[in-house]
Amino acid sequence: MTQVGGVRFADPPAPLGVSVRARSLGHSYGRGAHGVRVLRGIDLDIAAGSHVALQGPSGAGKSTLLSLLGGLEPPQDGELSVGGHSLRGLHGRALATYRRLVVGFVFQHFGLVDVLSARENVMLALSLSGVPLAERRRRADEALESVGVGHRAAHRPGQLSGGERQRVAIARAIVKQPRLLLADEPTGNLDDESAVRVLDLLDLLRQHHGCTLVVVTHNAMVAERAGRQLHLSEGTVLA
Amino acid sequence: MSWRDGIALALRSILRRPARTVLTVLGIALGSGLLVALVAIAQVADTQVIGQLGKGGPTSAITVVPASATAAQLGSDSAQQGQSNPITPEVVTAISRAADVASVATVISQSVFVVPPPRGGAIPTFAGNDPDRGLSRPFPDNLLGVDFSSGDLPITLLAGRLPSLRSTSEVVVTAGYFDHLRLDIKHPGTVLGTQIELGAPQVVDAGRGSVRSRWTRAVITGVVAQNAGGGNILGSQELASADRAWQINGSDGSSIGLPLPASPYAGIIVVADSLDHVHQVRAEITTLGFANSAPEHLVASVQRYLHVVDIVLGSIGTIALVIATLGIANSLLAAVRERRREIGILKAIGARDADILRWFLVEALFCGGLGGILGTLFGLAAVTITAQIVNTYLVEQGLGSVSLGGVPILTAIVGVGGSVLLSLLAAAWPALRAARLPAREAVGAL
Repeated sequence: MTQVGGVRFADPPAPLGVSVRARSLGHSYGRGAHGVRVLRGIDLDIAAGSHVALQGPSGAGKSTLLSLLGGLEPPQDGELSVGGHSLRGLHGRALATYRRLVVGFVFQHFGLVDVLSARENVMLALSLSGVPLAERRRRADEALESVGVGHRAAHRPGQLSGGERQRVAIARAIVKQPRLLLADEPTGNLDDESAVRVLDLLDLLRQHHGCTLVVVTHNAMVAERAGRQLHLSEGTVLA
Repeated sequence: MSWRDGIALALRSILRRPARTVLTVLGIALGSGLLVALVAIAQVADTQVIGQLGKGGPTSAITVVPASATAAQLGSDSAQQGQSNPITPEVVTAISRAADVASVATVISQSVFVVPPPRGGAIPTFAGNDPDRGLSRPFPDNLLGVDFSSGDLPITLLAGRLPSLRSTSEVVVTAGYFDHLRLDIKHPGTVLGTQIELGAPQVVDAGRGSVRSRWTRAVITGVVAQNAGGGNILGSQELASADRAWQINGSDGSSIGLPLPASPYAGIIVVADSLDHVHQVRAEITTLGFANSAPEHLVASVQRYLHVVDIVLGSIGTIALVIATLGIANSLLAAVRERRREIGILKAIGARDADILRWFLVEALFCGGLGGILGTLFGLAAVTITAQIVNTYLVEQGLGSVSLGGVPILTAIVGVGGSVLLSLLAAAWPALRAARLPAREAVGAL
């Protein structure tokens, strides 16, 4: 176990990160005259275990790129591979399996299920993978402890502060040891102090687990903490 | 996601919206309850209405009269009587051995004079010098001797009890007795426990009009509706046989309206082994030469009408259940709209379409099952209350009460099972819609 600033981490079995490779990646919403081309031939390489910030104005295609990376929808044009496996042509059940086994999401609005406690929210991610109940509970408690909200395990999201909720959401994302951690404006709903703590936590998690971290942000301070910043504008990567 | 986790998540979701859940369950309960109640009432009412046609006896009962049958007999429910034809013990044996006959019960009819008690009082003791003793005016009637131990007699007990077996001091009376006394049949209890005197005539000298009687005092133990024969007093066969033997020991009084009985039995109640065999048994009896009656054509007609009533009541209940089911669909559609975000979150962390489908189907299953069970209980209560109202009315009308005391088990199973099945069907579309929500669209915040 490693402890950093009151936060404990279980030793990972091996570096988990995956590389990302996109070639001529394109994506549209709608068809015909009403169609909107959101991504226009993106070429992109992200090294395994790296920390990348996606920046850009609204409508630049950040969320769509994150959506494609997370397997929320299959890419339409071009090629996108994660960990050497192409996501092109994956649908339904295969994409769900990809999301379950490879990806961890952290949402701006936390994305916790209101009717479940913090522990149950974290256990839910493992439940979908068929992890036995006892192990689910043990791993959920460990994950909550590791992000510093173990004492709030029995509380529901409505009983937690914004920072605590985001920590629970991070615990849910990391409990299944994702190889690609995607964060959408993870500090967007937090005060400065909480935002710093969450960013520290994400950074530590990435370093410790070795997962690849992609953060979408408008916040320059958040972007600066990433090893690499990518700027998107009108569906293309500027730098 | 395992079934256990799906159920837990669904129950949490249900409990999060208690008001909507309660209203949805109540809607299903009302629909299934109405269906169960209407079908149960229709089913039991069918049986009871058909049973009423048998006047308390089996609907497959046939009444044989001591007369030859005319050619029109088999086309008619009533006895088409020709010349007198005595029913002898040999005839009884022949009919009992006929095919499709389940049982045979004989009825003895004996002419009697009936002396009711004075209004509001008991019959005074005979004083010797006052033959009238202040008694009410006697009236002629028939005493029907029946075997009360037989369950196949067309007799319905309206009040009180039947006479003790082989008792010669207890009788029951019909509504006709009330007419003689100008009493109201709506209050059958007024005659219970009162004593009457029955005088069996014996003609001593028909030419001089000399008649003497054998008097028996009997207590009225009950009031009945009956179709066993013509007569308003019913007693044991022992009582009627004794009176009959007394009359036969006298002379023929045909000239003064007191002929000796021509037939040992006034009738036979023949029960066919099923309603479907009534016609065949009637044909056999007719072939033996006896007029007979049975409500076979009436029963068939009534059954057809009742079937229409069943369809109408069942349709009303089904419509109610379908409306309630649409309520489930509406409720789940609203839930899908509300939970788009949650659905997206679940999908983002790896939930399959089947997991989402299971979540919503479990909710529908819960609402449908609970609603179905509550509805069946509601239906049971409705049937019980209806039975009490109907019974009160029937007794007021001088008819026998009906027993609606239970929902047929099959109806209850169909009520609960149908609610669950329809709920699942209603949930299918919203659940599929939820399951097929694109993950990205669901996570609108991205």
